[in-house]
Amino acid sequence: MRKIFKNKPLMIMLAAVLLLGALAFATSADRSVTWIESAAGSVAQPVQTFAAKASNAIIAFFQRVFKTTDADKELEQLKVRLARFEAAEAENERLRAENERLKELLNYVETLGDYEYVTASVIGNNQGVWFETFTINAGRNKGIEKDMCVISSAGLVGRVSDVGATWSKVTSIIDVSSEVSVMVERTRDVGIAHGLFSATDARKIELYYLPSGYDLVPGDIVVTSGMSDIFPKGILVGTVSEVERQTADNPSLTRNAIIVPAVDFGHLEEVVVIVGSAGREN
Amino acid sequence: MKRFSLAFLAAAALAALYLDSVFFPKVNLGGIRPDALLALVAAMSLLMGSTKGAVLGLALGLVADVLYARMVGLTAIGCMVCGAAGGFFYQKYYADNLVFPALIAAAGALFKEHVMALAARLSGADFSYFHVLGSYILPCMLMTVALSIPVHALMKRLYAGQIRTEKRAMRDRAETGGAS
Repeated sequence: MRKIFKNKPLMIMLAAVLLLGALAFATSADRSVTWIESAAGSVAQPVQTFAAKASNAIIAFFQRVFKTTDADKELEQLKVRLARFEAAEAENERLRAENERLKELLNYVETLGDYEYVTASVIGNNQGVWFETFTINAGRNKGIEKDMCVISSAGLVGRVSDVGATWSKVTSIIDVSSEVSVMVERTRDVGIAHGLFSATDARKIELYYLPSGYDLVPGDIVVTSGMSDIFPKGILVGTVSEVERQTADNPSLTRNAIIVPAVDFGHLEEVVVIVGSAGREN
Repeated sequence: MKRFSLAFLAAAALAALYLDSVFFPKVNLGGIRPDALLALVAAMSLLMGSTKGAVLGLALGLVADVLYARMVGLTAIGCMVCGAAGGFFYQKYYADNLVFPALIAAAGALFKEHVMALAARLSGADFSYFHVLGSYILPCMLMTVALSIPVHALMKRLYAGQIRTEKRAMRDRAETGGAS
């Protein structure tokens, strides 16, 4: 035992692990970003933005190569000869698609009401499947503050959890720490949507705390209730896929339903951060 | 460390960060995401030793945490411990042996995913341990192992000159020590 305590490198390592554990614990709570984090994020942000944009072209290329038949491959070989034209075409296509997505996004925001908003691109995701957070390329420079609502053209994405000078981290509604006050559009019943952990790509949300005797069927649409200061009322959250009820066999069941989110979190590229409304100052 | 070696290392670290944060989440591999950063740390710790491996793991892990993670420090713990553990095999195996980098990457990935699983559980995630072990942690470990082998081969080639110099210096020290 004494030998272990005399092993300096091991003791330094244990101390470092404990310190990092304490740091992780401290940073898991609500807090402000330190200047070191803000500066590091700002330095890396242009590189991240470039890498995120370039990756779409790279992934599209690999998808074309691996998802083709023989005829397509032959066509692909012919296309290689026209590489310059293809590159220009791909760039035009990317810009057109981005333009379409942004138009769709802005149209959706305008339907929500009189909000001020900022558009941003997703530039990186958290490693692994344990936490569902991602980084966007807009921060305090665009007026973004902590706990602002983030949406896409499909519906509710999440809330801003950390803000740097030129970047922000967003905790999505499918993260296990996320809780959103929601309402079933058909019945106006109010409940809480909670992120559901999944080790695969099956991203889902749990619905809790509906009033007893709730009327819910698969396919019901769930929207934000507007009861919190963070999420405005009426933003699409998802669709009910499974309804669960307390039975004699399962008396401890507290979950009311499983919701499939409206947003495809695996292919999120642009988002809108609602920075304020006509009636509210931020 | 020579300047060009540092430049290679920085380029490799950037590439690993890009793969982990942008490429792997976008390319759907059945929900499984290999860990390029860990593969790099495992490979480099075998080439640089425990202390340098741990420092590299700590630095890269912290950068990844600050840029992308909700909790700062978790990736750093995984990468630092992997770097320190990998360093124990520094100059104790044949450079062409690919079993050691694969083993270290496997052990590192297992450790790191368990740290993340514990943090997720403490944050409120509800999951069956054995289900997650079979459906995510082990496949993720295997993919990280598969990634660590080419990464090790590449980094070993880039650092071949430096490894030769260090071996020569060690031999010289041993000979001088033997003479005195």
